[in-house]
Amino acid sequence: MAARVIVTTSGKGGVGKTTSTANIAAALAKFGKKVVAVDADVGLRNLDVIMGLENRVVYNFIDVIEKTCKMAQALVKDKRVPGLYLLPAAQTRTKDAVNPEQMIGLVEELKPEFDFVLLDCPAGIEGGFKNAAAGADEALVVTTPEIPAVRDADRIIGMLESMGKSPIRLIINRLRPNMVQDGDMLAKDDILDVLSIDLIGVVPEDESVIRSTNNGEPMTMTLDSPAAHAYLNIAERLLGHDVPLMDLESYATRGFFSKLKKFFTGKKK
Amino acid sequence: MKISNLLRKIHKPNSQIKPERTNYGIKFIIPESLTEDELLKSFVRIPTGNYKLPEEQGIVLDFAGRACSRRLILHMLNSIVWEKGIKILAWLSTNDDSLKLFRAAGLISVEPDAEVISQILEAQKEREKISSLKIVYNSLRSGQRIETEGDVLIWGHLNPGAEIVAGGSIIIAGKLIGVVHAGAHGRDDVFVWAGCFETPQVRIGNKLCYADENSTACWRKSVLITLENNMPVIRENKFLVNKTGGANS
Repeated sequence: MAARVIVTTSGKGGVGKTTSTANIAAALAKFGKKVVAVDADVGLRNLDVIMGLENRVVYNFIDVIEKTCKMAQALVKDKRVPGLYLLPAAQTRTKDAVNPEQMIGLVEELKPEFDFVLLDCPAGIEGGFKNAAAGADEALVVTTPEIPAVRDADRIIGMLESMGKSPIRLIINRLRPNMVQDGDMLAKDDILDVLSIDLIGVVPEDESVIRSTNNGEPMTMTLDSPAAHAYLNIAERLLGHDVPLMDLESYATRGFFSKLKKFFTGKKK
Repeated sequence: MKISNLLRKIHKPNSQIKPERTNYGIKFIIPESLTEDELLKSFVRIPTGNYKLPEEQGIVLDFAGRACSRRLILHMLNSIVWEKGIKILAWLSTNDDSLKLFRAAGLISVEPDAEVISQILEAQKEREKISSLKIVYNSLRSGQRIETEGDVLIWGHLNPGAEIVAGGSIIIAGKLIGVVHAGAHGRDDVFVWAGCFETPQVRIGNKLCYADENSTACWRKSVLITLENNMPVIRENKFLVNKTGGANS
């Protein structure tokens, strides 16, 4: 077994890198793959919280690099989904505690044991990003439909291209189809026009993301929301399956407020 | 090509003027056996184009031990230097009277030395840099920057946050959204051409201009931007518009 190593990155903070990593990792594990989600955000770790595994973290990957523990001791197995693991980051250290060579060494140690290694990258373009990206072969770039996020994504894509990462694929997160319809939000095609990379999925804005984050249960474990389905589709596409993009416009017309707005404005769509 | 033609032309078996290729251009060694009239005829016969060297280079005339007359010098200046527009770097001679005449006329009578040659080569390199064209076969993304003395062609888009600073002109085949500065060292004979103009700011020569959707009818059109009378002028490409849509359709 030689894992595919994929970094989830964005440039801008708060666009949903960690949420995407957790949900895609859980979805891939549900498809029977052995997956490890590595929290590469040293000093600001969150992946353990979003995956609901924070109480079980004893060691972290810096301990593995510094040989304080063995890899098997640092890996946290998710008991809810077979094949899903977390390798946490150190919360009490800074991003200088690791360098790209050490990160590559860490990933090489994980590769034979897993089908997928997902690296959750910190925001920014400095050392933390470079460390996380160094170990990866492929990249998922997460952006929200906002101009600053798209510009930062463009910056990151340029850096990933210069580092030779391929393929680099795009996740558009927190899209609000009704705002796009009203012309108040960048549409999928506007974003693709600027970024010129392959789209792997569009995740609609969904309040269940907040619930699942606070509950520590990735949405793809229960699949009871549009965002969960979107992440599941992304995981399927990562596995090479041909899955059509979700019809987000139907979600735009489902909500109570949308119906109310339609009633008053007389808009059909 | 021109220089080799020149060398071939002058160096006929029956010609006695011997041209030598040097780092500073060409050195003509003129034998004393030629009469002044024969010498002038030989030079006049050479077509003007054959004297063309890179603009930093020139010609050195070596008259050996010939006692040059004022008439010869005047004819050389009239018929060759001024008439054909060639650059003479030095007038050499081993004859004291000739040297005196050259110096009295203010002509340089010392062969270009290593220092002069290095200046010539340096100037040549600078000119080549300025006249060079850099072609990039992909879009430039946010944070990416190109800085060059010459011209730039981007066969893609210039995304927001990307930047090009060029001593010469800039062509963006796709969308121009990032920042461009053509003629960055003050040249005003440069241009910016964009397949689709969407940038809020263009710098050309020493001018900075702002634009947006409301300030110009050329927004999202194919445009040429130049400096005319020290003012930026933007022109829309209208000659490629077809019936089905705009210039880019």
